[in-house]
Amino acid sequence: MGITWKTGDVPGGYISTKVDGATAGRIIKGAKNPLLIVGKLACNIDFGDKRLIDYAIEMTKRGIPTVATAGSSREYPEDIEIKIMGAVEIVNRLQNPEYGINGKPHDLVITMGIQYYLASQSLSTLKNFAPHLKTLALCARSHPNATWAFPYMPDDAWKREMDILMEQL
Amino acid sequence: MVARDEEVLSAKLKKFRAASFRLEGLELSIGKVTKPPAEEEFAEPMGPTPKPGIEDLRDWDMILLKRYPPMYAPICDVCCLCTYGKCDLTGNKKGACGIDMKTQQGRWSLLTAFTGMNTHLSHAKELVEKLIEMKGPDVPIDMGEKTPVEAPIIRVVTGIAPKKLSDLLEVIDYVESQVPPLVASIHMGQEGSYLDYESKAYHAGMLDSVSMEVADIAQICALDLPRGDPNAPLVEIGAGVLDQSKPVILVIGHNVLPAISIADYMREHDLEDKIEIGGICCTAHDLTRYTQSAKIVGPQSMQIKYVRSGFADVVIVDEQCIRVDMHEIARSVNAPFIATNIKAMHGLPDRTHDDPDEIVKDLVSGKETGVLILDEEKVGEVAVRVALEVAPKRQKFKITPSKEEVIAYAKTCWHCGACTKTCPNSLPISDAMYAAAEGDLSKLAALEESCVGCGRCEQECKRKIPVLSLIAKAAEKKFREQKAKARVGRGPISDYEIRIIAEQWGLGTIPGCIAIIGCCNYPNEQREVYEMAKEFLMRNFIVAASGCGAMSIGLYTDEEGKTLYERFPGAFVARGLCNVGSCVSNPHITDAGIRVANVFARRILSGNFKEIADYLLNYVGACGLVWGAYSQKAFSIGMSCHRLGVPAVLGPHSAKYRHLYLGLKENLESYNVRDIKDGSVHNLGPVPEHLIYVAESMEEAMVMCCKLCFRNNDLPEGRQLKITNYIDIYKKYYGRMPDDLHYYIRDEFDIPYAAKDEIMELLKAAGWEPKKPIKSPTLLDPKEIWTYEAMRQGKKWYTV
Repeated sequence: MGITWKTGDVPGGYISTKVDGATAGRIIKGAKNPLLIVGKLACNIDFGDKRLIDYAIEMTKRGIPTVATAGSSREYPEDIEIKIMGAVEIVNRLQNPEYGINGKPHDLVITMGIQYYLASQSLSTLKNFAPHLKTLALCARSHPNATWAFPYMPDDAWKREMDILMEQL
Repeated sequence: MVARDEEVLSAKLKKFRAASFRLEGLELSIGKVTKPPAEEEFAEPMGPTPKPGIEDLRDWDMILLKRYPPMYAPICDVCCLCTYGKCDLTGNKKGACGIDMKTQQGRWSLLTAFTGMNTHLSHAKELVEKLIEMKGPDVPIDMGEKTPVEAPIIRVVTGIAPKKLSDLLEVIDYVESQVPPLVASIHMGQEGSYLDYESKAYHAGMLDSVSMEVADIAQICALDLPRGDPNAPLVEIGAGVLDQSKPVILVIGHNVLPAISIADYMREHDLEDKIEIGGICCTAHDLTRYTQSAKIVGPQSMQIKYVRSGFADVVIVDEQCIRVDMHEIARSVNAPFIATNIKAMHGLPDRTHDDPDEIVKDLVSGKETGVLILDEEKVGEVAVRVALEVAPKRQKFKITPSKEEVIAYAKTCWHCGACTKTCPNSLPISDAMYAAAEGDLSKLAALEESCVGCGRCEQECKRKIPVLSLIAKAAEKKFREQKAKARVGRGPISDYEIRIIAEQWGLGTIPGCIAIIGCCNYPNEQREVYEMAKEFLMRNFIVAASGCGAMSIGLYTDEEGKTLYERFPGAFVARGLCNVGSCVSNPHITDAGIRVANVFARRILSGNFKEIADYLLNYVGACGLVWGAYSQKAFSIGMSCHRLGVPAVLGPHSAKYRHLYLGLKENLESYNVRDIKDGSVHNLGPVPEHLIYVAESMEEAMVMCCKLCFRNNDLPEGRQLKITNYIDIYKKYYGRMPDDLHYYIRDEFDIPYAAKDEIMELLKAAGWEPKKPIKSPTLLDPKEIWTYEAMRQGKKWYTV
């Protein structure tokens, strides 16, 4: 019997399509103006030789507009341009189809490193009230409220998929 | 029930004989008659909305909701409240009745606030009725000579100034009168606007604050609890405070009367040195306000772990936030269980009217493992006698395993991860099991700090591993040694203290008041609450606390072995740490803001809600910090604060409450205010920026709390101080300068001297232009400011 990663997080009939790193990479590459939202947990998820935040920083360096939430900004070098905002603040703004942190509307929102339940609720807001957006959750604790999400996987597989994703960008 | 301005007229005629007829035994009762109002010199004029109905404050709600529109995060995409459904509302679709997703979320807001409000209302009503029965109706409502305004929120909402215990019945009558329309609007086919649902949720929240205040002032006055005493005594707190060489009675819940009866019985029978009594959750707060021979074991999350550890010989529950399976848990360690409240009867036999000897015999022999006793006095006797007789038999029997058994259990773990998946905090239980299987219990012990004690891990485990018991065993040393000191709930903040602090606080030269309240559904370690309290105290804030949050603050000591309660004064001053008490003591914190309006600004309180809320929103720098909120009560308490203009920062679990009130600072016009003097429109920046905010980490929470203490009325030196704090804490936790200073610096007098050049450069880059501060900002039409209207009419009244 299949169940959601977080038992009880069963939103309704519309749930995410599970994707692997290669597909996720292609989705990001195909987006016109993606937005990356990086949470504080990204700093704590350590794959050994690399942390999740390092992947986020790399994505920002490759030109993806980024919002750093809850203190994840501390890990970003000062010369890298990011916006600092709370997760709920950026999600609130994204309900407006005209809004973009770089002045242009976004078409894809990528989340990583946000507390599971806060991310789930944030993705629920976007699913229900931001129909102009697609969402991609790069979290190994799979998110049903996203448009696309990684399936549940252990950390070593997560790292592998993130490496594959980065190759696509 | 007789109101303050009413009396009951009745007459008896024993015998009357006239020429043509005879009367005998005539009794005449006329019921309630309204007395002519007593002429009180300089009595405060009544405001425009005494005892408001749903519609009376709706315009104020809409002002707030326009500035802070609800942002919804549905938990569930379907509606299943009627048999038309299930209806899929995903993407704001409409269901069969026409309700869309936003309106459904508004309905959830009302449902949640209403549930919380009624819980406190029921609690308050029970307390008042029982206390009248015990102490009589004429117990004076007296908060001491330093606190002449005895019940600020009751006055503001109802216009009633209660003088004696029975006066509170009129207040309860009013709250009860609001219940039917609120609950009826939840029914299908009623309300069609999410904003109106939010307005009704505000109304429920406001009624909640009235109910809580009724409950707390009733128990303060009738039971002689501390009346705004900044030097309220310190009491022992921690899992290790109850002497295990003695019989132990554990009380859990919020309604203190059964626990007080136990304490009274112990005192009357000279047993205080022979038995230990301790509490979990708010009953512990209120019991220790009554007697310091009682102790606080800890917050709500301790229930399973503490009882399974065998420490309690008898478990007594009253109401609210008790584990509904506590009878089963108590039974597992052979601890007799007594339920004491009609709201939580747990399927137990009702022994209320039985002889105490029989009840004691049945509980001690094990014939009954639990009973229901709806008579506090009897609970006192039975609990004590059972504890004395059961303790030698139980020998602190526990079901926490031995170390060898923990290792054996850990070896059976499949490491499937089901426990982590179901754990609210996704704790790495599997990793801890790997270590435990090797004999290292330290990782299991470390989980205790972040474990909310829900037990879902055990429900999910296919190997039937009692995870919580393993954690309790691993943390056994901590449980035995955890002993600290907390200040007992002091009750209200006095008018006297407010008089001293009002100017500094109202004008912003004290950076704000942070109210650390609520439950213990913390996202990380419980210690975070202590860390945040410490940070704000060191930054010169006033810190107020209540409930489980107040307990968590007291559980940690510094290098000298002192808790924050021992290091900082209990007064309502900058760097003061005030524990006001239990959940029902929460209104004392918002009352402090109301007292500023009264003492400092001479605003009329009675029946004048809108004006007072407008004052708090614009003048009084305060922010709630509700790091572990989980209950419906916590939600309704929050709603009571927000309608009154007090913002709050919540922990990340509270995103599951489904709604936030967030402003958009770039929409500056939404923050416009008017000058009371001439009605002119001004923009002083997005202050306060949000009304309900969820933070992801404690760092984010602290940054946001600092910002949400900005107020339009801050003096330049006050705003400077607040900006200095904001920049400092932002750089500390975010590693950069804030990029939104141009919103909050009104003119160059607001710029902190120490970083003036750097800030000026940032302001220039942001295209900043100075704004002209005004002294009397309001969101209302100035004609609605009742105090000024009364002054124009030449009225004079006495202000504290």
